[in-house]
Amino acid sequence: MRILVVDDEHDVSTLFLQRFRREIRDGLFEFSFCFSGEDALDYIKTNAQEAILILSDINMPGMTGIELLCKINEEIPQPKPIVMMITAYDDKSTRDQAIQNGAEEVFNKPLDFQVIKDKLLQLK
Amino acid sequence: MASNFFIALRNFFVPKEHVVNASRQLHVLIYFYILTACFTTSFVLFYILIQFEEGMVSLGLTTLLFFIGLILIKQGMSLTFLSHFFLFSGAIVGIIITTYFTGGLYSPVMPWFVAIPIASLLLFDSMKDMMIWIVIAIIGVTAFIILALMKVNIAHNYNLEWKEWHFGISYMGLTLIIFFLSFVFKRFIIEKINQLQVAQIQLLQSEKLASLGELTAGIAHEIQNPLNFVNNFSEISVELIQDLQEEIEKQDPDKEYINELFLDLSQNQEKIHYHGTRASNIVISMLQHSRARSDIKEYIDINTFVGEFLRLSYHGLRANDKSFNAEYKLISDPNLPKIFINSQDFGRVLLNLINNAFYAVKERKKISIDADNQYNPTVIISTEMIENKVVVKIKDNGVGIPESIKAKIFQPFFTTKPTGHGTGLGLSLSYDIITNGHGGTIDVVSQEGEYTEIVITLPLTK
Repeated sequence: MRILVVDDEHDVSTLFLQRFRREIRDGLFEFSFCFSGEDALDYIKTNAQEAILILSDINMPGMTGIELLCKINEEIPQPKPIVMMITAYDDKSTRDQAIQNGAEEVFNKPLDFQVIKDKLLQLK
Repeated sequence: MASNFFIALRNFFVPKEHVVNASRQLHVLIYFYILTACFTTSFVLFYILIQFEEGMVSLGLTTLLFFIGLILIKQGMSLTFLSHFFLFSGAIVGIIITTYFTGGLYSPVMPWFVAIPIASLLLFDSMKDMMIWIVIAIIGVTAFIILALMKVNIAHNYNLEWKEWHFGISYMGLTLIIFFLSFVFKRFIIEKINQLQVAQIQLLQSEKLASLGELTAGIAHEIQNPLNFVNNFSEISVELIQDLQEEIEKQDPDKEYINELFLDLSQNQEKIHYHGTRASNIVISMLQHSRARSDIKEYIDINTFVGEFLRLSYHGLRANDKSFNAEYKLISDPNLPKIFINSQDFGRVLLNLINNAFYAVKERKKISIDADNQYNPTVIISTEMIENKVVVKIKDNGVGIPESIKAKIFQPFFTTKPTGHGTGLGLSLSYDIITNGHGGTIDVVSQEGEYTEIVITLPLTK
């Protein structure tokens, strides 16, 4: 399963690659990274044939995670990718907004990688 | 002494339930009653002296009504009612009736009509209540004018031998009472203004606290990100070491895998250091922002000072990035007087603004490398004297500021730099130092893709 991680912090890529080192070695997950909502949308469009799961930060400069979620709903044809959101500001309105727009799950920062791992394995 | 006596007398009539929280309006009303009662009493004594019976009755009755009014105040009657009652006693019973018995338009009491609108203005808040008494005063005066024009005979029922004394006492009394009433009211106004000023200061203070609150939320978030990385990378490093141990203890260790683990470990240490430094830089900027600044100001030769910081900034940037280069120039007005400033704070402002200027030209240079090589990164600072103020302009031909974010650039934590490169506190700190610290102004003129000019204006102070 290919997982697209969207976050404006570049070091997130190193973090995910190391946190899921064993799963990547075992061929369970493959990771791709985009550092802005705009890039992520392009990536999803060009790789539409591939079944992917998107894990996106909400607070990003430019296109936010919520905007990305809406764009995916509008512009990406069926089957829609599963989208999960990450936020540092855990308030009810952000969470509700994400869920209403079809997010599968909202994770809080600091990320608990064990929870994410379990959720991803369950979806697989 | 005298004022203590008045205050004690005044407080005697304040209703028990209002003693702690008596309104100023109530105090004014009590003063009105007491002072006018004193005047009418002295008039009654004068009328007894000259044996003027009608006067004794009308002003005796007025005085009695004033005392009844004071008792009603003590009973806690409404202020509006008591103000009307005061004017009824003073204007109708006191002034109009006494004027009638002392010769109408030619009466020594006639000028007291002036006191009616003044008292009503001071006593009432509502226009309607005021108008009632102004109209009554005008009707009263008009009536006496008409009576005089119609030559209706109004007897001067008092002993005319005392005419000069009667006029004298009346005019003197009026003069004094208008002074006293205005004096009390002026103090009332001054107190109101003081209360307003206190409220304003408290508002400013709470505004500051609110912005500190906003700041705290911002800082928490700004610091949390690098700290998450520090935690994550150190945790992963522990796992990596365990993996490494397992691999080494194997019969046939995979050297390539061991190398990979070492590489990751070393990379993680670098990341931990990088993000640790990032968090620490945020804390340092934060401390600069909130620290109670040293208030030491001194006379500074602004040209030398600006020149030093221009070089400091340039060489600082060069030291970090050898590929960076830009032209810089100081156009100074040699006749500037020394200015009285907090050099530590002002230095921080200059460093922030000059660093920003160099950053802007560096960014534009990056874009223009592909387009053409004609771009000449330049930062120019000029100093001059305009209308008795020292003006420092910092102009760069960098990327400029888009119109959409111009309003936000002085807000704390607003930054256009990539994550980890700017705290977003530089301009907000500079703004605070120039405006609150030095009573100056800081303005931005910019054209996106062309230039940015920051204009600092500092007043000449002793």
